[in-house]
Amino acid sequence: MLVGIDLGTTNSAVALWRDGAPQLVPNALGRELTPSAVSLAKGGETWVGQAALDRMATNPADTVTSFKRMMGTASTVTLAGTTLTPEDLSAMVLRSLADDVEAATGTRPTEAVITVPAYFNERQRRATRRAGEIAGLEVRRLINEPTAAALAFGLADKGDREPFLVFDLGGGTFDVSIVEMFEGIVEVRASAGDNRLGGDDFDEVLVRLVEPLLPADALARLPADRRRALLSLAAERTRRALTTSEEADFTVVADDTPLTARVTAEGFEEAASGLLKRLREPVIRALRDSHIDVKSLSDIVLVGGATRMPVVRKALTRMFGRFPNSTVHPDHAVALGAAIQAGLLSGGDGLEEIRITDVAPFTLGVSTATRDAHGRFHDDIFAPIIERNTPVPVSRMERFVTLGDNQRQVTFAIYQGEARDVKKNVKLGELTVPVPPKPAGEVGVEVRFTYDTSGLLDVDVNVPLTGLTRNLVIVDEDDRRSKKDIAESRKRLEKLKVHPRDEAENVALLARAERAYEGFTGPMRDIIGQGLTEFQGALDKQDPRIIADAREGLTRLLDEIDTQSPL
Amino acid sequence: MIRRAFPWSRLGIDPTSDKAAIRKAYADVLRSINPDEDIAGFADLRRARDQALREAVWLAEREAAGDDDTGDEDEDEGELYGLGALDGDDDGDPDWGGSDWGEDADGGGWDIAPAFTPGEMRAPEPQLTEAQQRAQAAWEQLLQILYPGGQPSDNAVTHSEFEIGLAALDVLLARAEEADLEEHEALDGALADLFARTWPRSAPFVEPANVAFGWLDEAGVLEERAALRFLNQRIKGMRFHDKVQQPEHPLHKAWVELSRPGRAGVLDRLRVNRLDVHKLLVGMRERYPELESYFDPERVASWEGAGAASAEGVSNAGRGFAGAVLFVVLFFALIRAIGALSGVGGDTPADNVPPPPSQLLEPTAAETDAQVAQVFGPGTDMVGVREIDPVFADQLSLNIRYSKVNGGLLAFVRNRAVQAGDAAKFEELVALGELKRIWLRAALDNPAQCKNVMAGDFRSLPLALGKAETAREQELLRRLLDAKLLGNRITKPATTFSIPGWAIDKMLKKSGLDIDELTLALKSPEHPKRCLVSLTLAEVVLAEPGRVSIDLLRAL
Repeated sequence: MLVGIDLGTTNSAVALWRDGAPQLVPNALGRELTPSAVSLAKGGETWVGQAALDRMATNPADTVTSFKRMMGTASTVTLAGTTLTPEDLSAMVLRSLADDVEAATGTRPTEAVITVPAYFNERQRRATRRAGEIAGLEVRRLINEPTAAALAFGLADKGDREPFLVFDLGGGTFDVSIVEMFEGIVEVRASAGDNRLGGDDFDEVLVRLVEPLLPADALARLPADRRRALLSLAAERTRRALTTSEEADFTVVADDTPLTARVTAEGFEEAASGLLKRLREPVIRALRDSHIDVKSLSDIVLVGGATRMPVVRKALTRMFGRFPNSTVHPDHAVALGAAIQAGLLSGGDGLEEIRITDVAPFTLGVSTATRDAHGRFHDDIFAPIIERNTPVPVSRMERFVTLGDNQRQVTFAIYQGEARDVKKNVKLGELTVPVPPKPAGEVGVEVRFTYDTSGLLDVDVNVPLTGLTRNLVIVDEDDRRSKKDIAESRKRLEKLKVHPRDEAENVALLARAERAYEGFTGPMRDIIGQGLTEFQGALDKQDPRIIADAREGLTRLLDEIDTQSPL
Repeated sequence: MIRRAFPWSRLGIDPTSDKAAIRKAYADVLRSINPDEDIAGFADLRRARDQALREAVWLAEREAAGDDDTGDEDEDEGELYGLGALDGDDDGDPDWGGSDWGEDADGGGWDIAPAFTPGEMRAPEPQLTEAQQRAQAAWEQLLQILYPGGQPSDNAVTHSEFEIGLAALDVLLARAEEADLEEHEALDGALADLFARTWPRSAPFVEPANVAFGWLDEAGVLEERAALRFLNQRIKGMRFHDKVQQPEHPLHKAWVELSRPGRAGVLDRLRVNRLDVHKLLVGMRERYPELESYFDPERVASWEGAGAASAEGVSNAGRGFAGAVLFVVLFFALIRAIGALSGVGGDTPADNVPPPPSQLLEPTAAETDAQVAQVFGPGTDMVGVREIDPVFADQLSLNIRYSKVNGGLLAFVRNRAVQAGDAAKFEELVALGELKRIWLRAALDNPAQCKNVMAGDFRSLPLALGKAETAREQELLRRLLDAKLLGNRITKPATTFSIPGWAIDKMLKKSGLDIDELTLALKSPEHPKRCLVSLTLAEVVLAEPGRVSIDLLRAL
């Protein structure tokens, strides 16, 4: 079975194409969104999703979120003595989503369409593919998040649409795509973005704004990782509160003492002005590349949880001189779009007429050297072969000549990016061909880049003089190891003990109660403590009916507490 | 049915102005192919669709022309943030080498229509909001400051001008912050363009705009706008200027020393590391030549050793310098700008504009002519030069003023000759090749000198030429002058070249090197035999210049 997955920085979701429509699959807690969070304990006990997120407050050192921001880098995370790569962590979330689909349909999904930010580079995309494979899913296609959102938006009524702009600000990444729809064709005209800008950054701004207002000595007594975790959790809560009111309290509990500072929407906006400015540049770039002016955009479609922030909406209204369209569900659209793409790939009903064309978000090229008129060599110059925002699939060829006399071989380093100096771009791989020794410039080498719809870059190098050809489907060190690596990762993850699905609810509730216990002081804490003990007692009895009753009781208690307090 | 031509053939429809029909045809064909298996077909289809849509516009216009002449569309009637009446020709002033400001004009600010579409045929004045009116007024004020009296100015802004200009800029930047994308971009482009055009007068205003628009983020990007490519280098210079003010900066002492008035005394020389002063001067002239205006020329000259000769009688020259120094700065800026505009990345050879002199004497006409004759041979005077190439004549006369203190006019002209290669045709390239052969031969025994010659630096060390060579050099330089190659510094991006096999054979024979060493020397500028190899290459090529590629001639 083929499913569509939105693997997000903050939340993930899975959806299916069923009965001619995309449908979200709820998780074990009955929710459509699963937090992208993982927590481990000594001995390999593992939490994924909401339970893991709740453990962030109680066990910050063994819990991780926002690992999507590490995708494509070599960094790893060590939780309770187990070292995990960002791919491993993503795979754990993917596996939990696959479990949900299996529970809902009775079939284990084997293939997936996974969404990635349009502005993810090749490394980040490959890491995402690996994560899918570690989770036991064949990744049939990676689809850009704004493209998926556009699909979900456009397929609501299947009508033609003049170019519109999808503004996708998620937890950790920011994408802008300009999309047009006609006659069942969904055409992405241009994409731009910033893969290091998202809701998390706004949280950080909030933390920086508030930290000086909180008593420093009380904060300093907290261990560093715990302080960071508490502050960022509190920041997210405050940010949410600010979407509905003009001011909100930022509260953390340190050593049983609640520390509170008041934040106004205005103060937040001012503190976030640097981030808001960064929203502008990708929009300008996408418009320029697609030769579309702001006025002729038919709509500004908001996607991603961070677009709920009033500061962002205000900035957008100013930028575009009109109100953005918020009819799309900002958290669901991407997963629904992924399910539509899955439906397309598997020939789903009602999608026969639909075709999607997307663009290559980055410029692709090789590193070259030249000699200038003064005889000086300049190397590391980026020679673009496929310009950014070219419709894919695309195949382009460039000719290069040797620079040295009797050069024996030519090495092409393949890069992705927009800087003239290759060192500032992302290196994707390298390819070397032998050439016949001849005077400089007499040996020509043809380099062909082919970039297909699933985002694979294929490099062909041809030396016409000798008829020699070399081909490279772009792989880097990570990929070369990948087969063995993936098997090993899978084995490592299998050792971790994920809670059985029927316990998921209890596990999540425990984590939530523990978080609440930590977050309160005084009599409220005693009440929660009592509830916790009772629930644990019920669990020990192993009678499903008693457990269900206790669960209901504790849930009601926690719900009530949540409505009462800023926490 | 008649046979259709591309793009209609690809779409399978007859020519039409109906865009919906074109889109439908495109969609139908797209559904019938698998783009991943037919990449060329897909590219072809996209091209057909795009071209058909363009032709449709044209067809529609033709159809419309039949029954209703709508007249010409008025463009940019009330241009927001334009140069207005200031600049008659929109192509920019000739100082900029006639370079067009860029293919990216559509992204730039000049031609952006006001943020309002003229509703009717005769929309009187575009309706500006109050904020826009204020911004427009501020723009005009800033324009007045930067183009005083409607004219470009070489003078730095005065303090009060700075205050007014900054206030105006503040209004504009605040407006940009509030404005929609279109106006924001128009302002961004217009300010970048204005500041680049009026540099260095615009210098004190650049940094606030950079902060507001994030100009420096665009530095080094493939499609960095031409104006920004120029300005960003200047901004980096100003950043350096700020950093060097910090006492912990390694060159801070040298900076403070050079910015003091008057000649350096014995105590100063003990206090400051000579090497640091040298490093500062060289590095700065290479990267941010405009910063030299912060230094006292007299002090600089005294550190450079030129002060010793002119010890007396300069104390009252102080005030007179300001204008001259600024003029030099402007001159720098123009040269840099031309380089930036024509897409030359990286560094240009050692700057050929002299450091500010320790004394400035207006040379007489006779002195000028004597100097010109020294370079181009008897029979050439300043009037003659001006007739041939007025742009170059201006540069030349400026250099003559300084020639006494900076290694001579000849160094300047030689440097210009080195850079003439890019625009030169075959005959001139041969002449140029011969010049280089003369210079290289004269420098062959001195590795440092040889390196200078290859880098285009003729100022650091004198080049000893015999009588015959001097005469020949004069003749060749005159030829380049006649071809008007000396005044322009528009350089094209570097090209690669190849050395044919027969030339390699001859070079091997002539130089006595083996093939590996020769290859190595050709590849690495630092190679000890580099000079010899370059000379040999020049000799071999010049023996039969018709047999080699123009690129090779150019690269000599």
